[in-house]
Amino acid sequence: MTTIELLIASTLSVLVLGAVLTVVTPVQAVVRAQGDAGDMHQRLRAAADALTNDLRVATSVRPYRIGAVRDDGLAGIYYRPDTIAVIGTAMTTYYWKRDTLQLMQYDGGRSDLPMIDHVVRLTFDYLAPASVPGTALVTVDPATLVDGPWTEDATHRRFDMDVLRICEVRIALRLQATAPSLRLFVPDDDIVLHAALRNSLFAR
Amino acid sequence: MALLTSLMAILLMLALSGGLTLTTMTESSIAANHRDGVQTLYTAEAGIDLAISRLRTIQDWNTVAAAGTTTFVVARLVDVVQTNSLDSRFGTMVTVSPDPNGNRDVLVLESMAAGPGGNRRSVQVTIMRLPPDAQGVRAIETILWR
Repeated sequence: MTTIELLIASTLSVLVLGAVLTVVTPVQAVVRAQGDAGDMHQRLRAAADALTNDLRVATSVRPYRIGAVRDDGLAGIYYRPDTIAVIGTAMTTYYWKRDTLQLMQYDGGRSDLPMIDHVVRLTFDYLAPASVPGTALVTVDPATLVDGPWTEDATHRRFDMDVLRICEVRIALRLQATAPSLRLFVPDDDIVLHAALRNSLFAR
Repeated sequence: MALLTSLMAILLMLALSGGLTLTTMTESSIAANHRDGVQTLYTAEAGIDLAISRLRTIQDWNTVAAAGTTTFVVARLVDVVQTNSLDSRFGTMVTVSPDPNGNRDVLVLESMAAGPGGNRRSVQVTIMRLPPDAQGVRAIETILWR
């Protein structure tokens, strides 16, 4: 084999290898993105299941945090757009932790744990019966949830009586991919859920 | 050399595409199973609604309560909704039991639904018949849904 033949063979090999790498590198990113998209869908399913399962059997909700630690009611806060306390056989508060982008689950005692990561938006809207019976539910104005009239629950926590009108909750959730480099391939995913409170006063 | 490189490249692409296919298939299975689970839950709830609808036509609930726990509704979702656009494998069985506290106007309904992929969901609802209104109609109130 002459030097010229060796040079031609090497050049061809480098060209072929270069072509292979050009094809393989983006495919690797697609494979990673595919896995991350599956992970995001799983996080969405977990969030949707946890929230709707609790809300379905809830007797009432509060649009703020309730519990032994950092109770919003004690601080005079009666509405947060990204927080909901679900009251049923147990009392669980779900809220969005903005600084870590996590959906948190608080049991009202000492357990305050992250449930879902990479949540970029979480809002709760509340629906109640319209003043005209038989018509569609209407969205509750947050201002009406903080202006009284006030009453107390069994644990002597003060709350606005208008929350007792709430019979359905609209949850808007937006999740993003785990790695910033993958967000080009995996766009943020939005879901909107409606959960009816089967045990609310209205349901009766 | 070129042949070896080409073979290795083909093998690499095969491995990547195989992994991608496997991930997609797994994701599809998980999504389908979740969808079936949700539909099974709604089938169970549909069974409860159907049972309440039938109980509304029964004047004397004592006859229902006296029989103890009985199977009240056995239905496939396609028959209830009367459409062919639903999966015929969704079905539910609703049992009716008397009130454990002895109230004759209270009944406990339990709907056990089954769907594809071995999905099972159960809903238990306690209902009460209210006293007659001015028109003599006795409304049914849901006391507990779980």
